Amino acid sequence: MDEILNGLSIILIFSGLIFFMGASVGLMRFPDFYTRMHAAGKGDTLSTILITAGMAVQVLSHFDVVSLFVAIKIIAIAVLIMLTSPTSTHLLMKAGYDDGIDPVTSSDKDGIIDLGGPFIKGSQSGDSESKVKKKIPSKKKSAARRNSV
Amino acid sequence: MEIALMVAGICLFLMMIPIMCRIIIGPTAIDRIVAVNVIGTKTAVLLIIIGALFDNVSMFVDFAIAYAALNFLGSLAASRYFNRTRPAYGKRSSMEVKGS
Repeated sequence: MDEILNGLSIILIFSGLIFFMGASVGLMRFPDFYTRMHAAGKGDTLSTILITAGMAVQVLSHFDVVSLFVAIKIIAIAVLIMLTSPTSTHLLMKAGYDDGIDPVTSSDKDGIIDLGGPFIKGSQSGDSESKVKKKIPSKKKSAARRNSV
Repeated sequence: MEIALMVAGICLFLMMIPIMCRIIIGPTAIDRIVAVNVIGTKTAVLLIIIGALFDNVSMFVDFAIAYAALNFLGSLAASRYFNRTRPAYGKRSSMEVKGS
């Protein structure tokens, strides 16, 4: 029984390490902010859940009341990270999108797609409604320029 | 079992090195925040492994919970700060220079 639980925990921990290697290599080598965020969010969350599950199984391998409570705490860490890591990834992605970080496109010569974040056309001051009102005619103007060219 | 845990901890530490490179060379500020977030989460996991190596998991688990919660709060505060106050490149973005 003990060997089975130890083997299961080793399998879980090393599969989590494989996913974390994916996250690490993706965070190093992807060309773009958004793709890097994609690699970091998914690989980090899944590898953390797998490694903490493996550690919970490894703590439970010699069973008593104290190790049961410690395993419940480790599962609580896994649930906490499962809730908070997609939330922080979503908020950081939204922050980068609003700051106007440019995605890599297929035509990368001049091809920066106008996604329309509030900081793109340089309205740093004023409240958000004036930003929205200011954004629409400038967008029309740039579209007209693009059509004329 | 201890050897496997030690190998797992060392591999976890070695895989943090490219993320440290991303913190150093990251072109935008939010790249650096994402990398710091990943390293903080992995440090919470590494604390549990260190606790299992020291046969004292019941103490290190509390550190890991506190570290994970503070890591989430830090990335949340940084994202709210960079959402409204300043552009991500440290100067005005390249799209605006191109548009003007």
